Amino acid sequence: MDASPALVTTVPQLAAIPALPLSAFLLLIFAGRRLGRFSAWVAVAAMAGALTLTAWLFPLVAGGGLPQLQWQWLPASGMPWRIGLQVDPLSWTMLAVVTSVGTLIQVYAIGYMDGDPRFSRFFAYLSLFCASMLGLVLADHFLLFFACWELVGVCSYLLISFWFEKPAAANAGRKAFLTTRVGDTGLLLGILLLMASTGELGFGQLGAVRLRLLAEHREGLLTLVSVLIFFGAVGKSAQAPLHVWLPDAMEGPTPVSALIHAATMVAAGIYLVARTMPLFTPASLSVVLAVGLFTHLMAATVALTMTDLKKALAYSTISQLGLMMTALGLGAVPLAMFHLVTHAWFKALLFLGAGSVIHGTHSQELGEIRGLRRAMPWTAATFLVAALALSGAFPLSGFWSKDAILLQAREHLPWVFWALVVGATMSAGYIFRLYLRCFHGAESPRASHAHESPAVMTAPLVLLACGAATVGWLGAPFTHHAFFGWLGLHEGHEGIAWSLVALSTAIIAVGAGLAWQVSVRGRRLVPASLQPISSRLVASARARYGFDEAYSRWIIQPLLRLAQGLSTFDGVVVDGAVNGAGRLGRAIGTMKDWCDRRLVDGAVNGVAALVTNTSRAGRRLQTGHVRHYLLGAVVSTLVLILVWWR
Amino acid sequence: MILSALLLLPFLGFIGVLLMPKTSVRSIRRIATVITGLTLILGVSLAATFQPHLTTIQFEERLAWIPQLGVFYHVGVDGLSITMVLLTTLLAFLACLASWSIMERQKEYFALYLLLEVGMLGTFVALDLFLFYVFWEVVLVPMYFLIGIWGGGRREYSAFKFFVYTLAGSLVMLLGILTLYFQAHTFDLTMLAVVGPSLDLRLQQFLFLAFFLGFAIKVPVFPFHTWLPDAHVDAPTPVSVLLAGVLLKMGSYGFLRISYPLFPHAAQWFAPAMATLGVINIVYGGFVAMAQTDFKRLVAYSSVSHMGFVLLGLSSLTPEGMNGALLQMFTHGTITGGMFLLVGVLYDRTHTRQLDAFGGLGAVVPRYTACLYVFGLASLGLPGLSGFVGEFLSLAGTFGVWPWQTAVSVLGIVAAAAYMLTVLQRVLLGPVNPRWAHMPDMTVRELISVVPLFVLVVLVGVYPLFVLSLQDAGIHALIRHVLG
Repeated sequence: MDASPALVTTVPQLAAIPALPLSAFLLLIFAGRRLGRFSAWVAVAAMAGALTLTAWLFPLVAGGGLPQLQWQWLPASGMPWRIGLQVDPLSWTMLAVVTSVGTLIQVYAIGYMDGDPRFSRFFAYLSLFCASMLGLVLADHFLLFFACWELVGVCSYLLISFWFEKPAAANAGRKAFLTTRVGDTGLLLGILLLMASTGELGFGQLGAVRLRLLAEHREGLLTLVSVLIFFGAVGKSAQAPLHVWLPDAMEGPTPVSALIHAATMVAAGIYLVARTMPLFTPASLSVVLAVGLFTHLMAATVALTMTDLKKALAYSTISQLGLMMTALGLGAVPLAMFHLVTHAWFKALLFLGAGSVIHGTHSQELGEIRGLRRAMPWTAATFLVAALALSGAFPLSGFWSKDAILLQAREHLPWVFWALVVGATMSAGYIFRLYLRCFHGAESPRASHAHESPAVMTAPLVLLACGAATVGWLGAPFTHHAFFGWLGLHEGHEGIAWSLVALSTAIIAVGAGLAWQVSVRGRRLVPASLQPISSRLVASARARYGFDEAYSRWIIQPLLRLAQGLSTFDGVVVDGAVNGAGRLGRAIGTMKDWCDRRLVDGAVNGVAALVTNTSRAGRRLQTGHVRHYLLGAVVSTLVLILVWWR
Repeated sequence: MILSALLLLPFLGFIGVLLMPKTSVRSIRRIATVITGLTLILGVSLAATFQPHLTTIQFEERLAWIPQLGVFYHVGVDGLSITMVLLTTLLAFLACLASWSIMERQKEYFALYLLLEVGMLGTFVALDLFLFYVFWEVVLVPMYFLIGIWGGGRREYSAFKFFVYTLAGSLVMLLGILTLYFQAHTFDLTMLAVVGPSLDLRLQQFLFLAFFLGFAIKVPVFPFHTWLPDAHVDAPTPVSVLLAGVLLKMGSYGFLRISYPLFPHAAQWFAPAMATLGVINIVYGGFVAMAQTDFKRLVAYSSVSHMGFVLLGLSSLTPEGMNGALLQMFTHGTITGGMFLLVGVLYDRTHTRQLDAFGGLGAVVPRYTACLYVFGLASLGLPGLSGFVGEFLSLAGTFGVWPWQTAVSVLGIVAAAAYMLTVLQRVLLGPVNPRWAHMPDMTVRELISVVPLFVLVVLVGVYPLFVLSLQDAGIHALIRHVLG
């Protein structure tokens, strides 16, 4: 975004992009019930409007312009507290993905959510999500970005637990919010550190910040800031070790899984790293690379073993996001963004296909759905396109984006290349395993009652399938790598790397072949001697490597115990001290009361008693007999004389 | 004259209610509501005519009261107090509406309630230390009776604890006031702000500590906080609202109005301790809140946590941090006030506050659900709602000064999400508890008392400038004064 200021133009229409879905949200939240089924079309229209505006912006951005809009949010007391929207090629790319995929998925949801008692509420939440997501993409400043980042998190929470009567959905929503919030604290600290050390929060200034800090030899600070920011991305983009929330998030309605938990929100972490790339140093990039690659491979092995259709797709998403992170770790922002775009299309399609299956069979267990090809031809065909695209079949979109990353890795870090080849093989394996088990083989009892989804659902499937097939051509040689040029990378490989095409095809053949052998023919591929080891490996992958149990045991339970302990401490020690002080006060009071009565008052009473007693004794002397007085006088005179005489 | 009118109005209401016969409950309620409503209008017009860019005292009034001692009736507002006056008048009115559900001894209740408002407003507008102390203590008495008579549970214990604890703190403060008086021979805060900084550092530290104890108990600062959950839980709903919404702010306002301007060197000296105490409040309060099973107690501990951000922001002595602290005082008043009102709505219907007694209410009471969601999310610091702005400014202002304390306090944000989401889940989500399947949704009167806060929570979250601009100049002047 370091462009010459001459190209900056103020475009007030920018505000309308998030404002359209936001007003749809407000309208639906207050009048949704009255609108009934029509409320869905309000949401769709708002999103289509945002899509139109995005398309309208294209010539301006393509011509090198930087449309923007700014206003004050907090008092300008030395700090850059302003809010601004800005569109550059990077954010335009995200805008295009969010608005186009978002529109299609909302249309699909009209069919999917049909008959739900909270129909209009669903579209209200979805619109709020779109508004926040568009705000996030348009933000030119960390502050607005962070605000929208949190808002999409809340929308994700609301939509995961949309069917909140199910305890599993309510738990999943809370887990998603809390897990991503752990990551968000990293992002928040990164923002605070950046602001405290440089005073800059605008995305446009990041390049200058980098140069300044490097000139001051503060690369360590830069590394720390970028790793903290990356931690936020780890939470949002479900990278290890914070990936555990995404599979659970599948409790939400399937259009939500497609839009939020596959195509857009989870990709926001990728966008964040791409956007703040100037802050990343070689050290922090190696962290990104390690996390991305580990997530890519780990999640792929889990995806191979899941028996829940949507959970398998969720792990596939985690794995693909890991691939994008790997690309970012290689420093290749355009490649990561390119895969983000193609992935958005084919993964949204896969989820919508899965939704169509669930809609038709009311099940998402692989054991219960088989042989759906005949009952659901459109779903099967589009799912196959998406599966081919994901596994990287030439010339579908996944091929171009995945192979660009493979090429990049081969040139810079060969071991990463081979790791990615293994990952790609597993990807082909798991996605064909899903396809074959859902749509091939003999029809299961549920499948025989299945029906194809209505046109409002299949039409988006077909459109998405077209996109999933062709959107990758933007990065192909015959368009002169238009996409990479768009993002400022002009050294594309001319011509098709046929060796990679061959490799890709081989990968798919191996992956799909193995999947066929195992899922359809039911063969055991592992020799009997290795069976115990392999089954143990499969079991641990199926148990998702025990991340959830470990967190529960080592983090959540101890924290809850700590909370309980502190609460007891509060009651017994802190409040005990207060009550103890109170009791001490009362004890002192009692003691003083005793002292008062016995000593102080006692002394007073004692004096009185003394006087009474002496007077009583004196009174006895007054007998009234003269002889007594004479005796007294004589005796006392004698005593006095004796005393005096001595 | 507007400030005297502001104080006089609830006082006249107090007298008026006392003159009413005990049985005419309806007119007593109406008088109290009209009086608090008029006070709110005065408060709003005060804020509307307030000149935000001026750093001087505005609407100032000064009359000799006890000239032999140099005691004046001296009142006025500036950027530090204007938002607090606004908050007090607003919450007093809304809680008065919620007080319509008080069913016994209404005459005494509303009389004491109006007297309480006099005391609260007086504390925020007093510019004479003696007057401040009088109002400070005036608050104590009606509060004691309001909890002790109309409360629930162990109300007498809680009321007594609140009273004695706060009184103990204010006695130490009185010692400080007397020491100060014999040094400076004046009670005028503007004059004291000139004399105070020239005092010996040791003396400043002693005085700071003396006032600190009084204020810290009110805020409340760990470990002086245990009166708060008891008092909150046992107080009737409207009183809880004022307790959390206004009374706690009197403590932190004391720092801004007295401790910082009068003892600036001591304030700087104690800043690291303030920051550390703030972090303890945030994290400790958050964790203890996580372990609560009583809804009201949980909200009470969340107050301890949220007030920690005020301390943290105060300790920074930066414009962002101090602005954040003052804004947090305002937003916490609106959010927690709303939360207590919502707890009250639930309690009125179910007569329980145990979180595991609810469940699935989201499907039963949609209006209530929307309100609880918004206040809950605001309380956990969601951007776009007001809780975020204060916390973020506090953190942003403090991070450059006390990086480690700030970094640790971020833990409190995660804890806040944990306990608030648990509340939302236990109350609203999950299968519907058949006992409450036919629970009525919020009534119009309940909505009227909650919706203004709801609007403020959203408005300040989206556009905080309209509150911040009121206080910004005052904050800058204070920082300039403290840092010399």
